[in-house]
Amino acid sequence: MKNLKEMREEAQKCLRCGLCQVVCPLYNALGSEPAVARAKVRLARELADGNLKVTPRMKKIMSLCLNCKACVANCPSQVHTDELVLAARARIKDEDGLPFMLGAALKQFLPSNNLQGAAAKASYLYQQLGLQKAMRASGLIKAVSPDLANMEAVMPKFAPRTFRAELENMKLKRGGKIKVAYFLSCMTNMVNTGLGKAVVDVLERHGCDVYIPADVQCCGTPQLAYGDTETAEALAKNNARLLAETGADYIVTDCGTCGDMLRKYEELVPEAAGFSAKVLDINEFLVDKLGVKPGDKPVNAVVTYHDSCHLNRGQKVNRQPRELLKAIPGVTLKEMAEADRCCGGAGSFALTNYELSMQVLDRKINNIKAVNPDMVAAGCPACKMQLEHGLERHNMKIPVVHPVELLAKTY
Amino acid sequence: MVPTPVIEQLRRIAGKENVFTEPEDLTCYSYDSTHLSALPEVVVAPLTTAEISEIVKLANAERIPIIPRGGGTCLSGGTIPTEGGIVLAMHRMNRIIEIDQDNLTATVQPGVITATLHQAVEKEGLFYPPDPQSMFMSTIGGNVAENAGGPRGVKYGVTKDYVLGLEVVTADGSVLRVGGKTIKNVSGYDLMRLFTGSEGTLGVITEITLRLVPLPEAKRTLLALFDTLDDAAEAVSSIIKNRIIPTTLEMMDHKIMELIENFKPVGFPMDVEGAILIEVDGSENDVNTQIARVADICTQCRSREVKVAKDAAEAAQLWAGRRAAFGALCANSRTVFVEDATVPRSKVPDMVKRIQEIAKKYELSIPTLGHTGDGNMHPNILTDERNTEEMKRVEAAIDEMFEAALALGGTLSGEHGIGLIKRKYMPWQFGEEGLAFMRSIKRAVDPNNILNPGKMFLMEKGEKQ
Ligand SMILES: Cc1cc2nc3c(=O)[nH]c(=O)nc-3n(C[C@H](O)[C@H](O)[C@H](O)COP(=O)(O)OP(=O)(O)OC[C@H]3O[C@@H](n4cnc5c(N)ncnc54)[C@H](O)[C@@H]3O)c2cc1C
Ligand code: SF4
Ligand code: SF4
Repeated sequence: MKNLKEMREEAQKCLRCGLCQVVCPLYNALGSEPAVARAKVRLARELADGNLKVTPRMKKIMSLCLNCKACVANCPSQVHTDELVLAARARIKDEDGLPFMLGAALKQFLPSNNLQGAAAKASYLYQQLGLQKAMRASGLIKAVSPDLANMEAVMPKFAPRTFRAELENMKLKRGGKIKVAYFLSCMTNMVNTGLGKAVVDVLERHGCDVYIPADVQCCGTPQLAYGDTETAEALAKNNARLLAETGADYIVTDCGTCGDMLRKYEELVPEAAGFSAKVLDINEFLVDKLGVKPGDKPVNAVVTYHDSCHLNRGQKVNRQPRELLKAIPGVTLKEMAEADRCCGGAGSFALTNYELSMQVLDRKINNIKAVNPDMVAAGCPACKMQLEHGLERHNMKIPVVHPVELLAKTY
Repeated sequence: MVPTPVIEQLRRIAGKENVFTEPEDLTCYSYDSTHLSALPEVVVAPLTTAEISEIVKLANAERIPIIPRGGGTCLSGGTIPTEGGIVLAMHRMNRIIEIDQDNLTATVQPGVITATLHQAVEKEGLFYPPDPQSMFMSTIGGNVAENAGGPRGVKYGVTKDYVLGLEVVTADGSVLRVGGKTIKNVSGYDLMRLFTGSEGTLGVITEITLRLVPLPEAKRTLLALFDTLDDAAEAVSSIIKNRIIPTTLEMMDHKIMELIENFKPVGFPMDVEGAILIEVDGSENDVNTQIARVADICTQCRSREVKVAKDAAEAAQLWAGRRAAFGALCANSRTVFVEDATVPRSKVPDMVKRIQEIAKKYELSIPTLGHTGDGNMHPNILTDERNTEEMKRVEAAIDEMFEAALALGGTLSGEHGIGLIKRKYMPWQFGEEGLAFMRSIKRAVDPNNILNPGKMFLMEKGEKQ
């Protein structure tokens, strides 16, 4: 990956026109210049030139980015603010290191499948035994740390057994025409195991042999987001190797963020040469490569679709999920306003900048409210988690589903 | 240097979380949409007029420059703190105070984004016509301070035609209210006009009352292509001569269409020399008759193709090219100087010719767009600020362009303002007498020269700049 110095030219491309102000969700929420892409581009340039240094304020401003790429899509000069911010964060990390807890999360917890499994189990128990309700009611967490309380509030519902654990007893069909490697994401593993099963089921019904390398690790997005390029590169190398070793014709993901990252492996590590071209999002794969063959059972519902930033602007997949939804018998697709606007989740942004994240989220929820749907569909589990939290905050009992989960219901 | 006790006072006035002194924040307020920059010493984001009044009083006592800043999209360097001091960031004052359905007015705080106001009043079936192309970024305060205009200026005029009342904090910190909700108002000097377009040099605008009009029932769009730019220009004058005042009347030259087509194909044929894009609005019947007559006139002026949009979707398609112009220019060059020399409508063809001659003489690429309907031309000079030799030619070309505009009875700036960039041309347009008059106004109302000093013109030698 390019470092900040090498990205200087990119920063120089900015014409200061301010068009990024129109679309940057954080600028829209805060209104102050430091929040907008134009400012982050300028600061990145000054940091590269040595005119500004790594300071707490620099860190704070560079943390104010959802990596939603809305600015990039709207920029007349095509300035890649997202990459500049990541490069600046990498510089910050090089000079300052990572805070202890965060370092542990990025380097040990997320890449370790065993630790993830144990944590998922603990969290599941915490939620199932009524501890979560009790803790929330007691206000204890809030008293100890409002940050922790926010984290706890956004916490998704963990699955009783991880997908990885279930995989051991899963019988995957063989004898199909197309060989597909399915990348198991952290969220599918720990939270949305149902999505993993739906993906396998749908792929098999479309004549695919599904290979799931159980040893793949976290895709590397959180590491890159916090400037830990080293760990991200190590993960990329390992995942690319494991997925390539399946000998599959295609590598399919069900997570907008993971997919976007997988497509970047080539840029990240030389070992992944030729890898990225095989990566497809599940919506894209079904619609463009296989042709969607839904079952007969209708799903009678008005569905609105939320574009995940990493799926839409990152992977340029926006038409396919909609076509997939329209192909499902009984589904009425009703577009919300600003469907392609970030939900404010952005990985751990919702945890580290809770209030701001909720401001961005509220606008999304209001847009959803306006179309009064029965369900919200989204192609990224990180968005799902954020949207569910928002809907709950607004007392709306509407499920958030992956388009493929709906498709699986038709069989 | 802003002394520490003053910073302490600012924190007391505006709250410490709204006062910024870190180098990172100062950097973020050091630039606008020009290539210029200079660091302020402190940034304050006030919430109320009372706070601004206190801040200005303090700055006046301490002789510290005050630079109001809205969206920071100025194209003339108006927000650059060349002399340090305090940048007043207006984004927290972003409330639409009232939309008065009985008097057809809107009262807003200065930090309201122009397009936000558009949406709010259009929901009520009302219309605020000024449409600077930066409307999604610019603030009403910035629009008033620059007297901004846009394509709809042909029919509807510019910002100053809609300002009915202002609340202004003047250099000594007093709060002045001028105008009101009445359409007619001849009491006293017309201070509203004085503050409108004053680029932050006479006072900080803290509240604005704007005139609204009923939202037109319908609009239609037409695109006409011409084999020569002269034919296109003739069509423009012919439309005006026939007493048709379209909402917008935009002209594009060959070069700009080529750039657009390469950037985002919209179907411009590559062998046409000029195109005009026209929108008319009014009642359903009215727009249909108008657009038919415009189409006739274009055909009479040898237009090779006239496309009339059947519905909103087709209209959007015709506009897509024009909308992509800015991106196309940027994609093709490192630095773009968007000029806005403006001439009387009848002189548009002459000005177009002069721009072409100047481009040739200085070996520069100057694709030209124009809000031709009101004589506001946008010659866009494509260059690279790192190329010092070429930058010299650019400067000479700009000089010559302004000379040409003035010689044709035009003005230095149709909409972007003077700021720092066009300061040096002011004597050309106003002469020493004109400048002396402006200086005496400035001296009288801001004797310590704290309000956006150095913008529009310099004070006399020996005076505090
Ligand atoms: C892509 C692009 C397209 C543009 N198109 C147009 C166009 O079509 N027509 C047009 O007219 N302009 C256009 N502009 C120029 C610019 O957007 C306008 O001048 C606009 O009015 C500036 O508004 P702002 O809020 O960004 O003001 P700023 O840039 O923040 O400030 C502009 C000036 O106003 C002063 N000011 C700001 N707020 C206040 C206040 N509350 N009280 C007193 N002074 C104040 C500042 O000191 C400064 O001198 C364009 C700019 C860009 C980048
Ligand atoms: S839109 Fe692009 S060029 Fe314009 S200010 Fe933002 S980053 Fe810079
Ligand atoms: S990536 Fe998104 S949040 Fe970050 S600067 Fe761009 S628009 Fe703003």
